[in-house]
Amino acid sequence: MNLCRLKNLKGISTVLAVGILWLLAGDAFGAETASATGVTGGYGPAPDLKPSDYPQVAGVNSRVTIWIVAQLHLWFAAFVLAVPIFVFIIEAIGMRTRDKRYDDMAYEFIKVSITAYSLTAIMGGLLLFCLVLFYPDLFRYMSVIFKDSMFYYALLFFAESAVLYIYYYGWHWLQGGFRKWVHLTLGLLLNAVGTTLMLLANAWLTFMMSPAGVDPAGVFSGDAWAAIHNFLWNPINIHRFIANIAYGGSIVGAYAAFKFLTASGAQEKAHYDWMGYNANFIAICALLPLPFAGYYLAAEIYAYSQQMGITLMGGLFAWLFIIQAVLIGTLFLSANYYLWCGMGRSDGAKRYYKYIKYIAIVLIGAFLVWFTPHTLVLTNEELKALGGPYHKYLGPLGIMPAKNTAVNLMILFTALSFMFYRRANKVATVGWVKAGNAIQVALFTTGILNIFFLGVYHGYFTNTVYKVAASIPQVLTTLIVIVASVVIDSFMYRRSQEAGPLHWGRVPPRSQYALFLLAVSFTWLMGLMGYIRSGIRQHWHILDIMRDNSPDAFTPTLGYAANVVSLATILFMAMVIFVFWLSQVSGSKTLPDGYWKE
Amino acid sequence: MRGNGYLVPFVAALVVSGALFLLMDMAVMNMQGLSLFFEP
Repeated sequence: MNLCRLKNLKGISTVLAVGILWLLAGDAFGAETASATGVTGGYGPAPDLKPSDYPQVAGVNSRVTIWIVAQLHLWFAAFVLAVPIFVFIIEAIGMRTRDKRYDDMAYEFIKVSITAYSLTAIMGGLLLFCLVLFYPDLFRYMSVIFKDSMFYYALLFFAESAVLYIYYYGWHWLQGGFRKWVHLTLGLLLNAVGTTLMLLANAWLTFMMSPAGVDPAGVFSGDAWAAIHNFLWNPINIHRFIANIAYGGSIVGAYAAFKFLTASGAQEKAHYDWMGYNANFIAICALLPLPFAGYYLAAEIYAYSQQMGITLMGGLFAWLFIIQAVLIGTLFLSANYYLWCGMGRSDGAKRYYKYIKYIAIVLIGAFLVWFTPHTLVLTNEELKALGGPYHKYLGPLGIMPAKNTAVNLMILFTALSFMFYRRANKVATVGWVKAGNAIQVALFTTGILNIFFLGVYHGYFTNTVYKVAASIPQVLTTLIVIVASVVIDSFMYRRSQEAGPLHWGRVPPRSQYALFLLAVSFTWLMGLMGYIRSGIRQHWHILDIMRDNSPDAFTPTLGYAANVVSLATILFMAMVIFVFWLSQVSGSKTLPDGYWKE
Repeated sequence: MRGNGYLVPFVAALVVSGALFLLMDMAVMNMQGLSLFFEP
């Protein structure tokens, strides 16, 4: 019943959204704007707004409202765009291996995302209303430039809904042989449409950061592709695509944890334990390259606007990056902790227990380096006692080369944790096991030495150009070590024997809380980083083109921002728990004795 | 690393991978118009 209601609401909001977009994004607006500004036969400049141009509605704070609604929409959107990606992959694995467990798991993942999809649409509709109500001139200006893409976005939304419903409701109908291929193709189509939707929405937000296709006054050239393909579009596309997968993995991991903790039977526990493991695996796979994508995005922000780049990491928002480091460190620690707990499923894992403490030491050490600030917030007395703003020993750890070294080590050792986990229940049978292990140890040793060499030598004994340049071979070293080790491992354990039966469900409940921690940390992190990405425009709606003259055109304090994001995180997690609960009740049945006529 | 079963491949892999990483560092830094070792 609740599901039906949500789907109806989703339908209504979709129709409303399309209707409004149709009305607002039409050519009429272009003509209206042009005539209002005296420009004929083309587009007008970006409007120069006064505080009175921003409507006040029932005393509601416009900025906080838009902020929270947009953030909620984005979280749900990230989730529902990511889930079909790995559902498609899991379904394909199921088809190839003919192991029905994969098919059942893929179905359960998409089932969770269906309700979340409705909430995404509701939040999207709400966001649209809020933009029209609170920031009508900004929305009108954006609608003129992106009228075509907004219109196609609305159409694609219909396509997305149609394909998703066929994909989900046709899951059991389209089984076996050719039908299964049709179903898989629908999954591919669903991902293509979903990704296109994301790319379009990314174009609108990146236009606000790095406008293109307009002159310095904001007069649109009419080249819609130039506006879409702006400087920061692709860096955001790459970063969001990877981050969405990691995020989607973490949320379905939390779902599996929820189901595991509420499961009554051993078989049910085993199923959700396996599901949680797969979700965590997806999250880790996407988490490993994510810092590199983030680094690329930050570098491109610097390249586009040094002022924006300095505000980002060297100025106002620098301290939020310390919080970011804490949260990313939490992600790595919880993902690793979950893997270590998961080794309890195998009796053969005992062989690797002795190494875990060393991995933990490296991870914690790297974590501490990562969140060491460069400049400390100090009182005058503390400043005098310290002899300056930088700590004598810890200060050097505050700069990027130290953090790059730390993050590369964290990624390498997380991969190592995963390799131990993967080996835990296997006994290699090939004759070159000793040589294979020795080569892997050598590879890790030289890789780590190279990362240190690049980080320490180029970080502290050269200039800034070298510091930045050396980060690329550092990244490549990490990737080479991981890929080469995984390849060696896969050959070494090709015809391996099992150390014993794998006991799915034999994990402590605390491992499931690590999955919750992963989901909450991801959510909070995305909220904080989203605030930074948006906040670096400072007093501009559209950087250097359209100034924000609303009463809220100031950058809030970091504490205030963290409170708003935390509130939004709590709201989102409450809604996610609601989604989980819905999936729980949808499988429950009550038999009301004597209620119905026989 | 007890015994030759480990030691020989370890040392060989250490030398080869070390050299390859160094070559990669040089190539990547050169592609960015820089040398591996700092030239002020």
